[in-house]
Amino acid sequence: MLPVKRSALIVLTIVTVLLAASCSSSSGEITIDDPWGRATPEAAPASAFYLTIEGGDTADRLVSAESAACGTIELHETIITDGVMKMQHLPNGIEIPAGGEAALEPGGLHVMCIGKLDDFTVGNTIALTLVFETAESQTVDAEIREG
Amino acid sequence: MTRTTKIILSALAGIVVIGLVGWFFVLPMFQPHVFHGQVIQSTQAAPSIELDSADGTIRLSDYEGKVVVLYFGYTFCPDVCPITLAKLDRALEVIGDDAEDVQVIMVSVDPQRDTPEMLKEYVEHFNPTFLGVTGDLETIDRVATMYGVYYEAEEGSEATGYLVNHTATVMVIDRDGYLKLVLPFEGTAEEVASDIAYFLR
Repeated sequence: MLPVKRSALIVLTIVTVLLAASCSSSSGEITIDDPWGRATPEAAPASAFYLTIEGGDTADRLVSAESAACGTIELHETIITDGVMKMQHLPNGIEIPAGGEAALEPGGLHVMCIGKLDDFTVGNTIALTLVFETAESQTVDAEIREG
Repeated sequence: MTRTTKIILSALAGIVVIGLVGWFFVLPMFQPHVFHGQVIQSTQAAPSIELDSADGTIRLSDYEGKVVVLYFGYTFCPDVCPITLAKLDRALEVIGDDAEDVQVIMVSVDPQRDTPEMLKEYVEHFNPTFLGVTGDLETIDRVATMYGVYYEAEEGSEATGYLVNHTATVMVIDRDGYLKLVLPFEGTAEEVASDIAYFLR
């Protein structure tokens, strides 16, 4: 019986450690997944960044973004009503629910880069700083892709 | 099992096999094409277009014999326009060799900022065969109205100046110059390819 008990104890310990580890990594902090920017030709004055923001323990807002690669950055949402496309400027930012996520995806929410100052070609990466209402700002490397 | 039962059973099995083959392989060949876009029954040819590309004036009639895919957009548009043009490029890839009979044309809804040269570079980023055209405001107005395309500049911020709300659909004109189909923004590249391919038969 003893070896069984011991192995059960080991398993229990591993599970506890793993649980603790997974809890500590998801607690509090906002995390950014898969940030990327759209490759656009040089002639195009604008581009867009997309990413998924995993909310922390408390609700927050993405209020703005900054990048040396863009003259100005605005948070926008594409809205299509009866076939008509409209880009809505979101001066109040984007809500990040506690424990939930805000997905910035093609055809929806996006970070609009106006006046490109860097190369938006496939393979390049562009540093993008995300500014939150309460959480500390985070800088991520957005990979430039076709999309 | 008697001989008769055997014969009846084999006959039944044969009927089932023939039925299955017919149902799954033969019948679909006679099915009409199911469109993903909105079919339009035009009684007259699509309105004529005469606009400026970086390589000179183009007319819709220049492309008679080809299937023309018409899209209204602008180079300042960072989301919907690139998504649509990238999707059209993928659709042509899906169509394969027959795609050489397809001409994609993007008409600018921002003639005040888009020049023919900018449009050329913009659309060729997505596919070197795509054409980008513009004209004076009055001409663009007329073309958009004739094609039922809504567009309106809306005041933006200091940085954007203005943004253009516009119809995000794609129009398909057949080889004879008739407007046949309106494709919604939401469709996939495969759906777009399947609809365009119908007009290439």
